[in-house]
Amino acid sequence: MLRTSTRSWTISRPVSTRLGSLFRSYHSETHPNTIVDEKSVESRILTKAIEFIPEHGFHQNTITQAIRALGYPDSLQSVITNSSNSPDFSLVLHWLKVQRQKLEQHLVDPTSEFHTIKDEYERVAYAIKKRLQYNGPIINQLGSGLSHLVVPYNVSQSLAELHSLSDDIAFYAGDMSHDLAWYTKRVGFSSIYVSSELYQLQDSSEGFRRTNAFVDEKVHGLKRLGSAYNDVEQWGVFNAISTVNLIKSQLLRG
Amino acid sequence: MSMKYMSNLAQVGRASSRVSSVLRGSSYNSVRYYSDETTHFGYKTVKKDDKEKLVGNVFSSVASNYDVMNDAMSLGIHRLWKSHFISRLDAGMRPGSSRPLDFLDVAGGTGDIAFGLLDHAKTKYNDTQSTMTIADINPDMLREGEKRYQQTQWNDGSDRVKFLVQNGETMDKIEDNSKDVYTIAFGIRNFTNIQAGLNTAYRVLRPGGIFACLEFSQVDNPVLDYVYQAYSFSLLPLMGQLIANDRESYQYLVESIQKFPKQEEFKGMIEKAGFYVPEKGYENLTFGVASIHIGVKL
Repeated sequence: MLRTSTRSWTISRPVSTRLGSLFRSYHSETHPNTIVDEKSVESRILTKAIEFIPEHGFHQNTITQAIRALGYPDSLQSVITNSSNSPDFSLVLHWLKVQRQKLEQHLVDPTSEFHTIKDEYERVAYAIKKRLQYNGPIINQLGSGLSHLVVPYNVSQSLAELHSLSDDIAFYAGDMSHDLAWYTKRVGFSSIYVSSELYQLQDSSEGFRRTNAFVDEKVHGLKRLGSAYNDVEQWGVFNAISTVNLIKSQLLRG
Repeated sequence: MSMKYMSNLAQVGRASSRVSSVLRGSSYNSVRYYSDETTHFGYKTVKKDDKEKLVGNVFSSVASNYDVMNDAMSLGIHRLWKSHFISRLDAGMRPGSSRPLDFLDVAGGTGDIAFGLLDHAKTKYNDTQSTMTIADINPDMLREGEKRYQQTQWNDGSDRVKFLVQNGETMDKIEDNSKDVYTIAFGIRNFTNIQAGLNTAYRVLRPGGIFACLEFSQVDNPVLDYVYQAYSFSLLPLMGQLIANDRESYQYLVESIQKFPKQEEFKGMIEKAGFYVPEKGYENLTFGVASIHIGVKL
């Protein structure tokens, strides 16, 4: 409940404050609030392991280092290995979840720059750029991490995580759609995110300047696509109605 | 359905009629509460003091051809379960670690889990220092293990493997906080007091230690469960009779599987002993015929 109310206050949705009861967001307010359960042993180990990723990569060895740093014996490895995911993939997935949580915390923070942006697509671009910045510290290991995500038996979980990310971004950007656009936007944001991340792998510019420009361009492209679609739709509907009216009037004249 | 009827059923009923009664009477699967002095031995109700002896008799009589029978009964699947269990644990001293691990394999009798764990640790992590204690309440089963040990690579004079006759509920020769990995495969259902066994596991483990249990469990899918029940109640005792010439012991094995707590209930018992149970807490193998339970002492 607490979180629900925080959301509606911190997110400046232009219309919703006035017509709150009329507009419902399609981002489920009831889905689990915690992206990462920080109390569980598994996630404590994996969160610690993130510190060792720049040095050891997304590898079981990283987890070993984390367990040692926490002062536990090697036997605790079984907590991580006793899952249907490989330790490497568990680490990648945990990394993604932690970053998504970090992004969410940033977006709901009332003092963040995010709330000064009014346009929905500008906000999307901001969120994607912010999320990509979090890849900075581990950029050298990112490629191997991403390769775990596309292994066939990991794909479904990877896609679920990607969808959660684009859903979060769409929601916090103030998406109010409740038709096909809901899907189109999320798929669009996902594909922008993935292509930008691949671009980022090759980007050596200061502070990922070129990646940021790439994201802006892609998001504008999506926005143009959206308005083009709307224009065509409007034009189509107008013409359809005109045709019906034309036929009606012709019939009346007999 | 009264307990008396059940015990009669177990003793005299013909295999086929037994199957149908088992399938009809799911109610008595849930009867698991006994008075202070009695407990279950298969479907029979016996005095608590007697159960240990009765289980002892069963395993003394099956010890010599225990693995042949396991292969025959599970069509070799028990080997897959055990190797899966070992790889899921993925135990072993990692390179650069400050101290070796101390394994304890309870009800380890023939030693296949114990040797498997050592094998895994050596091949994957080049761990040649961790120690293994194999405990079993039954000297006959333990002797089988020792016989086998003579032929393994672990019999290299380094004295890393020890055999101990121990009651899993008390473990009086094993100190508190002295082990890192506690494994028990297909053993815990024979304990007179399972909770006491779990509490002891908690006692002997060091903080950060792992409790891991591989045990028969409940098949979720009712159709598969029907097939499984039919197989286990009609064919298994028969095979026991034909191969090992010992129907009673295998009848007990089948019945004790039925009596063992379900996955969720057993998970609750592990938590009650003080363990932290990660994520889902158990993993079903072969539709739940067996399952792996994990607990962590923190």
